[in-house]
Order: sequence, then C-alpha cells, then structure tokens
Amino acid sequence: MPDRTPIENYNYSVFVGADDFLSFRTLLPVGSLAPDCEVKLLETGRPVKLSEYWKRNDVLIEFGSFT
Amino acid sequence: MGEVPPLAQLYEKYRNKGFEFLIIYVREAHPGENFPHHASFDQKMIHAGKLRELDKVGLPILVDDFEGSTHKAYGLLPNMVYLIDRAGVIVYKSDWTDAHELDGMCESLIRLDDMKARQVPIIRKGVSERLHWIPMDPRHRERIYRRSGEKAIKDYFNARGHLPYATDAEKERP
Repeated sequence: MPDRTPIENYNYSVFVGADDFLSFRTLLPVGSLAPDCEVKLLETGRPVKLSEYWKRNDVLIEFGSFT
Repeated sequence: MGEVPPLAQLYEKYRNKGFEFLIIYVREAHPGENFPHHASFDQKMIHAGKLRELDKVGLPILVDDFEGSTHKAYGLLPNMVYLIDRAGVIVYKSDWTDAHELDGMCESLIRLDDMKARQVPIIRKGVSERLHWIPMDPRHRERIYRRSGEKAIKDYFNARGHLPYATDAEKERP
C-alpha cells in the first residue's frame, strides 16, 4: 500500500481529522504476520524489536499519545 | 483522541497468564500549546514520559521513531489495538481500544491453549468482523483536550464542526 504520509506531515501541528479508518480494515488483516518494527524503551532508550515480546508471550499492543 | 484509556485492570488480570501488554507512543493526536506536535525524537520521549507520570500508566511504554514507522506499518490510527500471538500472527485488531472486547479475546487465547493442551482437534480458524460503539464521557474528554491546550479544541472544532466533548444534543443545535 503506498505511503501517502510524507515525513514532514506525520507530526502534524493541526488536527484535521483525516484518519483513514477504512484502509485500516484491509492493511493488515487478522491472520497476517505482525510487522516486526523497532521501537525504543521509554525507561532506558534501548532499542527493541517487537518480536522480542511476542516470542515469549501473547502481546497486546495499544497505540496512543498523551493528547 | 490519541489518549490511552486505562487498561490497568486488564493488565493486572492477564499479565501472569501469558500475556504482555505494551503501549506504543506515536504522534500527538491533538497537539495543543501545552503539548505541541513533536519537533524531535527527544520531545517525543519527554511526552511519553508525561503519559507515564501524569496518567500513571503502569504498562511498558515503547516509543516509535520520529517518522512514525511503526505507526504507519500498523495503520496510522490514533488509538488502535492489536493482539499478536506467539507465532507473530495478528489474532485481533481494532480501530479503537475497547477493554471489554480485549477481555474476551484474551480469554479466547487462554481457551485455545487449554484446547491444545487437551489435544482437542481444531477444525479451522474462523474470522469474525464486528462493529463496536465507543461511549464518551464529555467531562473526561473536555479535561483531556483542555490539558493539551485551547488550540487542540479549536482545531477539533474546525475539523469536525463541533466541540470534542459536545453531546449529541449540542451537535444538533444550529
């Protein structure tokens, strides 16, 4: 699926309500493999791959922000 | 609204039953003068720290990179949730966090482990789709937006035509 979010628009300064709820349904259907992305632990800044978690346990991932 | 609803009770219930709960910190959904959009990764880490501190979030918080790579890979929605099994397979996804649904899904996975342990033959993996309805507490929502800043409220109004905490009756008013 083409990425229509240029880097400079990702961290938008003005909410315009353009969230694409429809594409979400087809992007990663249930049954497909979860993308093994790298993120940073808040506590230490250590990089970690998501698969480190699901290797050991079933993992519930919630996305969010302070606002 | 990208605010993380409390999953604390669910976390307590399932963390010792073979589950890990994670929060991935993404872009500010409703940037305001108090919590503006991230201009750097360092700022993103600071905001994530505020989520930990001010909302007393006890779950592990992982911070996505500045460009939002993980956020994009998973669908870019502000408050989506995924349940992933030990084979790395997505077994549940929702466009908005619903603790009641998640409770049921975690129980399903526990039941699956039990069936496997008892060698119950599994005929197939079915797939369901559903709608779900998210209730709104206007006072709570107002607090969240005011905390971000007046700009967050103004931008929401410009985008949607009503205040973020407007009730249905208020939305009807001309």
